[in-house]
Amino acid sequence: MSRRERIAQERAAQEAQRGGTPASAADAAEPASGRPPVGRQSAVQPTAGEAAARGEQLSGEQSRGGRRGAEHFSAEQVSNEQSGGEPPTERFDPIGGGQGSAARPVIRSAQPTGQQAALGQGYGTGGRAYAGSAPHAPAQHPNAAAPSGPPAGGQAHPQSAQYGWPTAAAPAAADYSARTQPWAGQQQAQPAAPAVAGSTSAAGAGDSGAGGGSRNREYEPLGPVRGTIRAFGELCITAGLVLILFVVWQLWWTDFAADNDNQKLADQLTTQWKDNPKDELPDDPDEPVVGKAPEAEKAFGIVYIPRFGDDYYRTLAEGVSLDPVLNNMGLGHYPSTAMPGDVGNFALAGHRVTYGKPLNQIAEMRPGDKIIVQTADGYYTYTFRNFDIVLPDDTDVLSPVPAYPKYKGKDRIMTMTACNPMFSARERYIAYSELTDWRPASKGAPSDIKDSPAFADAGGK
Amino acid sequence: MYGFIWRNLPGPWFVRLLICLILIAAVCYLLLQFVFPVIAPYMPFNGATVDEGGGQ
Repeated sequence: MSRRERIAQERAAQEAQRGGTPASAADAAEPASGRPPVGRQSAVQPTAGEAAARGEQLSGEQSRGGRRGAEHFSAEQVSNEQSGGEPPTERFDPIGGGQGSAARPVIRSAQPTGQQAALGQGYGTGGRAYAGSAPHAPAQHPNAAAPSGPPAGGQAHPQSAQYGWPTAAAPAAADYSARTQPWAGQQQAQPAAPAVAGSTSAAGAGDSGAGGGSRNREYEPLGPVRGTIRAFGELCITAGLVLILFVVWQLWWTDFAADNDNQKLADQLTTQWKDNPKDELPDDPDEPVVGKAPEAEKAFGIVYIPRFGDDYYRTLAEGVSLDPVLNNMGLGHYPSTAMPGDVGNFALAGHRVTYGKPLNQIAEMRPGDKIIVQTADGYYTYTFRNFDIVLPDDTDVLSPVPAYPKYKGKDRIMTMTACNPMFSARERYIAYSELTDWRPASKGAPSDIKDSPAFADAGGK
Repeated sequence: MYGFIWRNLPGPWFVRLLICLILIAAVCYLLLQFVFPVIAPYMPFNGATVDEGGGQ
């Protein structure tokens, strides 16, 4: 039933009342304002027994304002009169006239609302559970069922005049429910009076649900204890999320960022080398050219290790500080050690996990594996010889003769250090290699890497 | 805390949602860019060098 039809029916019911008895003229004037005036509440309410107990809830409903308050108000009055021992026939006033059938379910729909308000509106969900509970329903239903026989219209109107407003309040409630409550139509569809007993509890539940929903949307501050517990819980959840984000950042994001930096840096280096080719040859053809030590934290080489994959290359920079060298520039050269190709120990450090993990597979190396270090001067090929695992403070591995810092060796060796075991800094994994080949830059890359994707990626071609 | 933020954001719910997403993105950016790099060296798995201190 559309809203317009419903309003038309209500108007018809009002017309019937107005025409029936002069006493109801005052009632008929009420719907013009759309709802009963608030002032009526205090005037009528003390007539009911429980009115004092309900006063708070009612005023609360009213203070929320608007039609909702009006509906509860009218419903309250209906239930008041019913419980006050008055003959309940007035609830069925409109039944007297044939047109009243539209208004009657409206009163019924409002009635459980009144029950609900009386019982537990103020107690939130707890009150809702009582809405359809047995102790109250039976008290109401016999009353409702008793007058279900059609009362005479003439009998009804004086009563409505006596109470003044309920007949007027009913249209107001009907107007409200037709506009805003989707379940109103369901109640309208319910059959005549005998069904009242069955329908009231369901209607009451529906109404309390809607009322509770609107209440939950408003903010009710928690008490100090619950508020503190909630805030603490939210902080814990936040801390957990931040920790997860840190792990994601450390394990994946740093790799992503470091790989990006590695590629850019390698491109810069190879471009620079191509623009300024060094074709310096050593005095002794058997001796490799040894470059000068670069400035700190400057990239000066590219390292290829085919064992780590044919696309593996990492830039090599001066210094072993975490930021920026090891975290952003790939491998780091211990500044106190020899340069590539020189007699002594050419020592590197690199992350084994995170930050691009340049030495992730250092434990996979086998004797004979090639390590090619490309600088502006040429290609230094080292061959892996053996590994060691030492404590982090064992700096003897960096000496020209590892583990014998007093001696000056004559070998050209290379030492790589990384953390061991993975994801721990308890020990260091040391890989020793020995220079086995050297080619000047003008002669091109050695065959080990010449055709590899790594050499192409690094910009060698 | 989150309820307080949500209640104090202006606008209808989709505007609040947008502001919330922007706030989350800003917090993540600050963490990734400035906070995590500072605390990462203190993590027990980032040492790759041998030195006298042995701390790294």
